[in-house]
Amino acid sequence: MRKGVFGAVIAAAAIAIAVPAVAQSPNDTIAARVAKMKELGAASGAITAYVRENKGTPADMVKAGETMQGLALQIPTWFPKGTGDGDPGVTKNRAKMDIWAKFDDFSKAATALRAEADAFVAAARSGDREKITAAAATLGPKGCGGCHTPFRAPQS
Amino acid sequence: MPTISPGIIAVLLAVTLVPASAAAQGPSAERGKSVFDAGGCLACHTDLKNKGEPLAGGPPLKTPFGTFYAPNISPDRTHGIGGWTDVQFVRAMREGVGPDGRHYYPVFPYTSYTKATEQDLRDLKAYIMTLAPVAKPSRPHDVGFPFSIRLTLLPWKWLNFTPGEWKPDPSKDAVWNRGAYLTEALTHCGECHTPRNLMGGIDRKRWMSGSADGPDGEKVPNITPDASGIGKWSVKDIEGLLSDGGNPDGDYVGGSMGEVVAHSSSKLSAADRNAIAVYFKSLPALPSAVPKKK
Repeated sequence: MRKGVFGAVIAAAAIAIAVPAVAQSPNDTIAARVAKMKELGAASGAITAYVRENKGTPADMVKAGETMQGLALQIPTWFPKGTGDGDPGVTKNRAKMDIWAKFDDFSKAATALRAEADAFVAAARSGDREKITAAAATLGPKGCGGCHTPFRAPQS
Repeated sequence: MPTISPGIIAVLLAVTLVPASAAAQGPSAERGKSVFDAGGCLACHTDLKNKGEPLAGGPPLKTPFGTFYAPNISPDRTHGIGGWTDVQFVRAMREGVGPDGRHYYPVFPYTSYTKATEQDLRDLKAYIMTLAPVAKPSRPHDVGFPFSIRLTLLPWKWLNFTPGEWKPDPSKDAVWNRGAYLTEALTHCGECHTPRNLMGGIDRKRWMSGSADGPDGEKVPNITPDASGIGKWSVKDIEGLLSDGGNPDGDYVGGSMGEVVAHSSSKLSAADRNAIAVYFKSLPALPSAVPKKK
């Protein structure tokens, strides 16, 4: 009996994992990844406010950095084939088709973001404002910029 | 009663006049590096996407007039600018004319660089000459008729190009003037952020209010202090964007501006970024020149 419940839990979990990949239409996938990107944006906004306006604390920076650590390597999974700007039946979005032409480079950029986020969290844990701002200075260009410069189309 | 001798007055005058006579200094590659970074030379003249050699020629730049390839400007004597004299270099930057007398398409922003000081241009050349020469021919532009005929550039230049060094505004302070000089002469922000007239000339009346025809068809935002532009941004927000590419709302600039941040504005001094921010905050607020999306 216990085994049965356990099995059902695993089955339910497996379905929960598999369902988004299977049942989502390209447009749902795009909406979901935009929402995920906004989570990253909120973390990055908190970091920007700390660097520029001295708002928030090093503990907040640890939290923001951890959000990025957690999401960075997921990014390539938010971009299944067929969800680019220009794919048939897909709403206008800002994902350039180059993502799929150069998916290795795209994935490497996500890995670079993770490395930047790791370094940022380490700096935030030190509590030293100078170290945090120094880490933030490369997090933008080398982390976010690694994808946004080559792979995101401008706002229209 | 103590008197000041004419000799001392002469010495005092000489000391206070040093900055003015600095223009007569010999070229400095070290100063040229910062002119090079401010001018954003690297991003257009290097195929960064395909990891091309620095200054050996740029990626395709699509415009409504055709596709342009920025040439090899490495110090190679045959394919680059290694054989150019300082005078030829300054003329190319100031007048948009090559050593062979060819007129350049204004996709090369000599319309901005013409405003640079002679000292800055000579320093810039000195810096470029310290880089590695690359023996690689420049790729010809792919431009349709009638623009393929360079003589069509003569009336264009007559109507849309005002050569001459930038003149400081004595009613404004030194920081503003530095920001204005950088923006107008070197960083050439207006080349993308200002709409163009039918001939492709910059529409000064709508300075920095955005453009629907940016590089590769990108829409380029209004960056005047209007609500549709950067009205809510502080000087710090502008400095921050130029330094790390972050928008105040947490978004990150991408596309061409990402390249500008990576290869140009993040390399400026903090004082220069501040000057540019002060200058932009002082601009007249204009409505966005970019049509709204449907």
